[in-house]
Order: sequence, then C-alpha cells, then structure tokens
Amino acid sequence: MERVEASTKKRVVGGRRQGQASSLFPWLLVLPAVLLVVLVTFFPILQAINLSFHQTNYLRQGRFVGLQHYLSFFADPLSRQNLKNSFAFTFGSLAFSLPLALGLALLLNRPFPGRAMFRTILIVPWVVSQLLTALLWRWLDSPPFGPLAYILGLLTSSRVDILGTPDTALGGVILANVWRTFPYAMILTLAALQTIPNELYEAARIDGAGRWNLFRYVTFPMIQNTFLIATIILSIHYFNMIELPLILTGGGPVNRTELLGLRVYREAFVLFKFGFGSAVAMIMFAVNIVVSLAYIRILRAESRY
Amino acid sequence: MTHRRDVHAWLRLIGLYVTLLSASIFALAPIYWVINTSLKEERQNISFPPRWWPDPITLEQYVNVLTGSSIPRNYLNSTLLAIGTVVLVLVLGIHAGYAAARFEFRGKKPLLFILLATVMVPGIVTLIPVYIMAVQFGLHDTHLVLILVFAAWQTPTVVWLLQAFFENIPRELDEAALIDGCSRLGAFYRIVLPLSQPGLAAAAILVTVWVWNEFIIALNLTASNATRPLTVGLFFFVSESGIQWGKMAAAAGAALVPIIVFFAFLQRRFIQGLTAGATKG
Amino acid sequence: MKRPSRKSLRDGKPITRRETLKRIGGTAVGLMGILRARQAPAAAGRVTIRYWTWQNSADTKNPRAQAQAQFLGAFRKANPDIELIEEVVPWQQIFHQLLQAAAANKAPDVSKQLDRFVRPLADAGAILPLDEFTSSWSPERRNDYVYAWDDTAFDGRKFAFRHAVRPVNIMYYRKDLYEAAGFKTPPKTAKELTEMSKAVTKGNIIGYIEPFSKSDLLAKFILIAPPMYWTLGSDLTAPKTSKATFHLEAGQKIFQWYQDMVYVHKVCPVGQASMDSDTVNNMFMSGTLAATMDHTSKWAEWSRKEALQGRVDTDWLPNFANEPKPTPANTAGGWTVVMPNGAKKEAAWKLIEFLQSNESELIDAKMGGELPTRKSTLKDPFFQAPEAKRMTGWLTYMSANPHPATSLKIKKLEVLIDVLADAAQQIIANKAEVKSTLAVAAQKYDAQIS
Repeated sequence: MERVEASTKKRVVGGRRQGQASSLFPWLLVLPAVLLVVLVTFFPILQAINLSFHQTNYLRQGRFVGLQHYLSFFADPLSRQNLKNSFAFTFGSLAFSLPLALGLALLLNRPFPGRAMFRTILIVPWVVSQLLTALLWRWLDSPPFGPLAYILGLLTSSRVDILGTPDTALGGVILANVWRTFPYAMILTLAALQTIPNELYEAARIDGAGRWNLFRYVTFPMIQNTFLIATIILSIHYFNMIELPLILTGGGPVNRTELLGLRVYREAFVLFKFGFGSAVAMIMFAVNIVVSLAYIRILRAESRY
Repeated sequence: MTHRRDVHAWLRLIGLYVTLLSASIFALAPIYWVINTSLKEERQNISFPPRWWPDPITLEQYVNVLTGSSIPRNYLNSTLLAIGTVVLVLVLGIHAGYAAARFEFRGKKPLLFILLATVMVPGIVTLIPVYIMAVQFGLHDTHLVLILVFAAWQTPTVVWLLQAFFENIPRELDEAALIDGCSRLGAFYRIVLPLSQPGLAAAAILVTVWVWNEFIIALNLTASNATRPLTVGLFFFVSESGIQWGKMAAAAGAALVPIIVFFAFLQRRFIQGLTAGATKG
Repeated sequence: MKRPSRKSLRDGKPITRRETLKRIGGTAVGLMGILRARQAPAAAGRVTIRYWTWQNSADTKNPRAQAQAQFLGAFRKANPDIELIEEVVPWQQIFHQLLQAAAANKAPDVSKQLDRFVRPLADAGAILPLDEFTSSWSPERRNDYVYAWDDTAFDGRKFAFRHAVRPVNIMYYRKDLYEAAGFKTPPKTAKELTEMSKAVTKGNIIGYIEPFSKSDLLAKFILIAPPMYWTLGSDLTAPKTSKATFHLEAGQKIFQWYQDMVYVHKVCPVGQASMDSDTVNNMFMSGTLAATMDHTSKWAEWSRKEALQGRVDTDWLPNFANEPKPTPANTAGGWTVVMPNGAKKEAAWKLIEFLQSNESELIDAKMGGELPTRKSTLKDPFFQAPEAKRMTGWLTYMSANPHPATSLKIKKLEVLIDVLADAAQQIIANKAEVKSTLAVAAQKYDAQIS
C-alpha cells in the first residue's frame, strides 16, 4: 500500500488555504489527547521531582532539602534489598513466563481439534486483575487449608508455608505473577507465528532441515521482533509491579518480597512521607528509562537485521 | 516405515494434548478453587484436608455478598467508570490516531514519542502528585477524576493501536470521499471510522478490561462507596470478612465471573487489540 | 482489495460508530444522573451524616455487627430528622483511609477508630476537638466514665469518646488440650506458657503463635506489648520524651522469649513473622491453635464456635516477669468515635452522644459482649445477672490492676508499628541478634518523631 504522503500536504482541504492549514489541522486533532496525557502524566512527573527535593509533613510541603532523600535511600540497607528483590523478581518471572509462552504458542500454532478451546482457556489468567490474582494465590498457598500448601505438605511431609518463609516467599510471588502474565507473551508470539508463511517451512524442509533447525533458522528469526517487544513490555511491567506483591505478601516476610514499587507505596501512602516516596519513585523511573533505552537500541539493531 | 511414522504422530498428538491439558489445569486451577470455595457452606471451608468440590452446593454466600455489602454499588461504579473511560479514550484516540496515520506534520515524531513514552513511566511515580492535585482541585473521590486519570493512562496505547488500524485502510478511500466533496473530517467520520470497527472494538475491550481491573489508583483517589469501583470494594470486603472464606470467595467470584464471560465472548477482538502493532515487521 | 464503488460510499453505512458512541455516552450521562439523584440531599429539614464503621450491620453471623444494627436503629428512631448513612471500611484500613479522606476534605461526619490511633489522627489535624459540646457538662457527668477523661484528651482538648472498653490482654485457651496434657490450670507466667505450649504442640496442633505481619498494623502484638513491658517495669516509649524505650532490657527479654519459642522450644512456626491476626484467629477458631491473646469482646463470638464450644476459656496475660502477680490491665484496644468533619456538627454530635448513652451501651453489652464505658450503665440489673459475671469479672480486674493508659499516647504510632514489625520479623524469621536489631529499630523511630 503506497502512501501518497507528499500529495496530502498539497491537497486543498475543503476550501481552506494550503500550507499553514494542513499543519494546524492534524495538531488540533492530536492536541486533546496530548493535553490530557501531559496533564496527568508529565506535569505530575515534574511535581514529583520537585517533591523529592523537599521535606514533607502529611500533605504539606516543607523546606528544601536537596538530595537528602536520595542519599538516605541509598544509605538504607533495606533499599539494597528492595533493588535485589525487584531484579530477582523481574528476571525470575521472565525466566518462567517467556519459555512457557513460547512453548505453548508453538504448540497452538498448528490446527488440531480443540485448539480454539485450549487457546481461550490459556488466555483467561490475563483478564484476571492483579488484586484477584493475589487473593487467589494467597488462598491457594495458605497453610493449612490452601490446596497448594496441602499438596506440597504431603509431598514433603511437613508444614509448607511458601509465602511465610523468607527464602521461598519471592518464589511464591513469581509463581502467581507468571500465572497471570504468561498469556500476554503467548498471544503475541502466537500472532507472530501465524504470520509465517508455510512456504518458508516447506522450503526449509526440502532443504533437509530437522525440527530444531527449522525452529532456529526459520521460526525464531521471524518472531524475534515480536518476542522482543513482548519481553520488553513484560519486563517493564514486572519491574514496576505493585498491586500483586502488595496484596499477596505486603512485602514480607522480613521485606524479602518488598519490590521497589512497594517501597514507594509504603513510604508515601502508609507512612505519609511523600517527599521521600517521590525520591524513590524517581529512582524507579530512572531505572525504567535506562532499561527502555537499552531495549530500544536492541530493537533497532535487530530490525536492521 | 509408515507404521513407525503413524506411531510417532500418535505419540506426538498425545503429548500435545497432555501438555496442553496440564497447562490448562495450571491456568484454571486458582479460578476453580475460588468457585469451589464460594459454593460451599462456611464450616466446610476450614476442613482439613481441603474438600475438592462443594457438597452440597449452596448459593448462600453469593446471596450474602450481593445483599449485605456494597458490592452491587461497586459494580455500578465500575461499569460507569468503564463506559466513561472508553468514551473519552475513543474520542481522543480516534482523532489523534487518525492524525498520526494520515498526516505528516511538524513535531509529529516527538509528539508521538512523548505519548508512547508514558508507557515507560511507572504508575506510582505520578500517583503521589496526582493524589495531591486531586485534593487541591476538590476532585478527590469523584467519578470524574478517575475517568480522567484512567483515560490518560490508556490513551497512548489506544492511539498507537488505532494508528495501526487506520493505516491499514487505504488512503484511496479518503481521497475518493474528498473528491466527492466531503471535508477531511467528514471523510474520516463517514468512511474510515465505520471501516475501523474492529479496531475500535478492540480498543474498547482492552480499555474496559483495564479499567475493570484497576485497583491502586482507585484505592487512593476514592473515599466513599459512592465512587469505589469493584476492585476496591472487593478488597475492603475481603479485609472486613476476616476469615470467612466462603464470603470472600463469593465476592471474588462475583468480581471474576463477569470479566471472564466478557472476555470469552469478545476474545477475538481482545486478542486483536493486544497484538495490533506488535506484529509489525 | 476491491475498491468499494462510489455509490456505496455515498449512501453507504450510516455513521454507526459515532451513533454508538453517542448512545453509550448518553447512557453514561443518564446513569450518572440517576446516581446523583440518589445522592440528592435528604428531604427538606433532614440532615445527612456519614458514619464510618468496620462492622457490617448486614452481617447476621457476627454478634457485634448485630448489636450495631440494633443501636444504630435505635438512633434512627430517636432522630427522624437525621439520615444516617453507614459506610463499612475495614479496620485494617480505616486509619489510613481517614487520614487520606481528611486531607482531601472528604472525611465522614463521624468515624469509628481504634483508640490507639486517636493521637496520630489528632496530631495530623484529621479530627476535631469536642470540647465545645462538653463544656456545659457537670462534673458528675464528666466522671461517669470507667476510664480517665484524659485518656482520649491531648493538650487539654478532648478528641474522642470510647465506645466499649476492652481489657485487651486476655488469653483465650483450649482447656481440653491443656487438661489432656496434664495441666489443670492455665499458664500464669511466661515460663508456664512455654512449658504448656510445648506439651500440646504435636500433630496438627500448635501451642502458641504471635503474628507479626504489618498488614494489620501488628493488631495483636501492639495490644499485649504494653502490659508485657509494664510487668517488667518498662514501656514502649518514654511518656515524657516520647522516645523509644522498647529496645532496653525489658524489650530484649520479650523478644528473646519470642525467638526462643521458635528456635529453642520449637513451638511457634517461623512463618508467624508474616502471619496476620486474622490467620491466627482462624486457626484458633478451627481448633488447630491452643492459645492466643485477644481482647475481651471476642468471647461472645468464639464461645459459640462449633470447634470451640465447651472447650475454650479465658484468663489473663501470663506474667512475663515470671512473678506470681497479675499483669496490669491494658484497656486500650477498644474503639472510639471521633468527629473528622465539622460540616454538620450538631447532627454528628448527636450520634456521638447517643453512642455513649446508657441505652446504646446496654444493647452493645447484651448482644455484642462489649463492656460499657459509663458507670451509670453498669447500674443496670443486667450486670448483676449471672450471664454478666464474666464481664463484671473483667471490670473488677481492670480496677484492681490499673495502669496509666500510656499506650494511647504514643507519638506517630504508625512509625512505631513499622519499625517494631521490621525488628520482630528479623528476629523471628532471620534469627537476628535481639539487642542490636532492637537498637537499630529504636534509632529509626527516634529519628522520625523529632
């Protein structure tokens, strides 16, 4: 489909003048959306930056304290734990959800009786809210009545408390998270898989390619981009997650599941330290920007391939 | 030789079904457990070992939830918020998406970048100042502020999505309408828009699911039952029920079932919405 | 792609999308209109007030909720010109929700709040002093309370009235389990509690659990901690300076005891560091826990539970100094009513006044098992009857073992809870060294209250 771009500019629009009018018109169309987003997202970011440099008392902004909040964040040993938790959570979740998504997408790619049903079932967790996910898994994991705790208890003949034991708590959160989010990567990957024309497979098979090589040299390169996009979106989603861990474990035990976002929430909305909370939020934001930029570079590099 | 192939094929098929079945159990187990718990009598819920299916099945927990709590009101609020947000997002999104799809103009790239960059912003960063702003403007605890905030968060994705859909509609159609004497916008409303129904539907569904499931913004921007959506209502109900598993499960079930049904009926569009744009290139 | 003919474009599809959008928009506006109509101010002459409570009056299984339904009903009958709207906010969230709502000027007219959070609310300016309504009271009226006037007054201003006094350091225990293990009486000292808990911890049963999750703001521990410290001659914070004293010798003893219960005596599970009080109560109610501490008003509900009937009894908190003396009574832990919003002062005050009336307190005592706050209510014959024996027993204990209600005067209680929970979790889940962990917590608290 060719884009007749140049002619758009020159076209007479309902009797108005050319040139200026054609630049103003699209701007007017875009403006309301941009205004709303700027008002609710960008302006508050500036405010948050400002807040992070001040002392606060409940809702009142106090004196300017410069980088004090940032420094005290880095000086706090809990912060190291928060960062550790956030990265462990992100990578741990990716390590399970991506292979699961890819594997299931590959299985669902070729038609077979019942495919539509399976596909529907496997997407269901994605429509469940983080809150509900947390509640469901909390109930599944709670000893001694939760079925998962019960089954694990039978297998290990001891009382299993996944979410209450410091070393396994984050694993429990990862499990709930993977459950809810793998469908997203699965759908995206499946959609990309479906765009691969059969001829490519045929050609490769004629050339004598086995299953693994088929995947490596035909399938994967074709879905690479989409898979990468899914990875990016999921990893940002994971890093910034608050609701699921908040309701599932509240950050405990012993802060082993307190992700960075939870720390922000607790400092700001539980302890009412808006200034400090904003500073930590800014640090989160910085990590997001760095990671996103890195991803964008990777994307550009891959696309050129 | 063929015999061996057949056996192989059969084994693979069985393997396929077994794998998918296991995955399906994984996907549905938590939901099954909640429904199971919600249909049991209360005292059966603290039995050890756990009971795997309700016997007898009773609806008393659901009756409890629907008559003795604010959940029905929360349902109404969630519905209102979903409708309001979808309307606002679509109105803003179709115009912005159309401009992005059809026009080149100065500042287009940076503008679109800004719009998409909001995906990079963790929600919590803006929640603090938005809360303070809402308080200062007297908008705290109103439907309006929630709709505005929700719409702001969803607009960028919808613009991106709709841009992709509009780009797939050939320009020649616009041109033809213009030749016929339509104004630019007229061509848009009468020709392009009706043809983008799938895209609009997909966007509407995505936004609805997101709004329905949103929790943390609503938790901090509402202060009364008159505005609290279902997620917050459910959270409060669960906290208040303490250890009455059946009641909690029924509330969870009441929140879960509509969204799953909604999804089941509209999944095609939902999937379209999720995958649009991501499969480019 | 086939190009649609000109004709179909011209008279083609109507602007269906736009139409649908308009229709949806119209519905939304219509719905909001209905909503607003419902919220319209009450009929002329009627005042509407909002009351926040964590009891759900529609809950037929909870005796305290039923009591609320009844006395609020009595209020409505006595005040036909006031429309009372109840809003249920869970007790774990009601403090924070009120802070947020007050900051946004959207606070309810009257709210129930846990008494230990009155001071933080007053300090934050979230609630209004009530002196203008009580200035005309006679001294007899002022002294008609079983608790000191100053318990809920700060800087000379009265901020809250207690509704239901609860001695909170009582121990609920399974007498059948203790008897089966050979003990005829419940534990009276910490040593005995340890011994007896060990004896009954087997199979499915756990002897004792103390939850330390932050999610319910240390609901159980914060009630028994003050009397534990008092027994040992100390307190959580210094009454005059408000600085931390929870890390000194007394605190070290207490937390060492908790740590030993997990690792030395193997009674308490490590997971208690992240359990909340609801989980523990659930275990007790289902029969898998032998003892737990809670406030007196749980008796009405628990004594009727299937798994506990005839098997549960109550006694006082064991003496943590291992002396044969009773522990001072901690009466903080009940709830109060406060006025966050002065917009409808007179009507709001009427509700607050009614909740302390003899009529209302009697209903709460009979149906909900709550102790009244006023001496005049206690004159009712109900309290001489045998059913009320347990309740009057609590009152007798309170007056026999008094202690200043310092636990109500803690500055920035939410911060104290936060640092204590952190310390406790480290000590229990990570087996951290008690003295240094508590010292760090004390430093953190002191830094934030200056």
